[in-house]
Amino acid sequence: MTITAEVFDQCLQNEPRAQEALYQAYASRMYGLCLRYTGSRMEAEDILQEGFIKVFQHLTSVHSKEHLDGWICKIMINTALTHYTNQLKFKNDESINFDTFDTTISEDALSKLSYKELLRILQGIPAGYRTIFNLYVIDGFNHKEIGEILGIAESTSKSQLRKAKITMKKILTRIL
Amino acid sequence: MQEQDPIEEHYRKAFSGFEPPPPEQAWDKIRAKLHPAKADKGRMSGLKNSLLTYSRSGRIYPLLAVAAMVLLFILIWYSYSNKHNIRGHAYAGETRMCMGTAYLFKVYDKAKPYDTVLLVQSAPVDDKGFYQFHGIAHGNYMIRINPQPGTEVTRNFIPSFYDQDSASSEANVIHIDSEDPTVDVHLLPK
Repeated sequence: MTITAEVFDQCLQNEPRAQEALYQAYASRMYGLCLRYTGSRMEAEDILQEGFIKVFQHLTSVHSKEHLDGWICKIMINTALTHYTNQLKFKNDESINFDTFDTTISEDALSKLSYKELLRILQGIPAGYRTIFNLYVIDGFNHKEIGEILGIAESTSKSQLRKAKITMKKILTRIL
Repeated sequence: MQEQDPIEEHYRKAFSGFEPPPPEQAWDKIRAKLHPAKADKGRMSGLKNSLLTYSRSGRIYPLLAVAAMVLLFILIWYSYSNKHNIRGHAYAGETRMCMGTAYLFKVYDKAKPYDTVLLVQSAPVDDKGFYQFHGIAHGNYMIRINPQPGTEVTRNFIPSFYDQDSASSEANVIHIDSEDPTVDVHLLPK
């Protein structure tokens, strides 16, 4: 869902009705994103509100309407990451050799789960694991980009992703 | 080529079009932060300060507001539809009296004239002897005509109630119900 150039221009002029139209166009998608990055609905709602306030306050920095989609997504992700700054601790824990764990799971088993259950599993893992899983798997960033975003080494991003999947598999095994 | 992890693949597919409905009040909260003055104004404008028509969140209940307007309209209509006019002429003998004042008294109990008769309206009597009272509610009334002091009429006639009575205790009561009556008052000669 997108907005017209007229609505975009009116948003730049701080017009409330246009702002509501923009919000309606992106709210569902952004709320889905917020739910993925957070541990609960309440936190997701807080991030959604905070993110949209930032969107409207800094909309003039978007060069054109065509860049709006990606820009809003980045704002939301950054808002979620800022929200979890204190909780995001990425340690390269050498005491456990995660390579010995098998992260594979059958597709049949996964297909039995609804997206609500999948979301619950994602929300149930630590914030650091969840963030990297979201950034890499769903939002399509590579490990180098994730390293730059989070200020960590590329290898740390890779190991955190692996740990995230192992943790998720453990939960899945318990459920299935 | 690296084999795709089923967890990754499944999550990517499941959440690619993940668009759950956003929380209901989210936009109101965002708008209130973006436009605090307008949000307050919106809550207080229109039928402002009417506690019956506003919810706790500040949103107007349209049906309640419409019902209140309809009720107000009915009250106004009822109040006007039950009002009447009383008109007539004042006579000094056979001719119409020229200039004076007409007084309308509401009669609550004719048996106790001093305690229960109340002046409700006065109207001028014009040079053709015509007078008129407006917006009179249902009930019992008495009318008195006073000729203008200094005129020739005052030499021959005295202020009188309808119908040719000098005292309120003897005056005729006019009952106002559903029609606008015409009441001609004849002054009592000295």
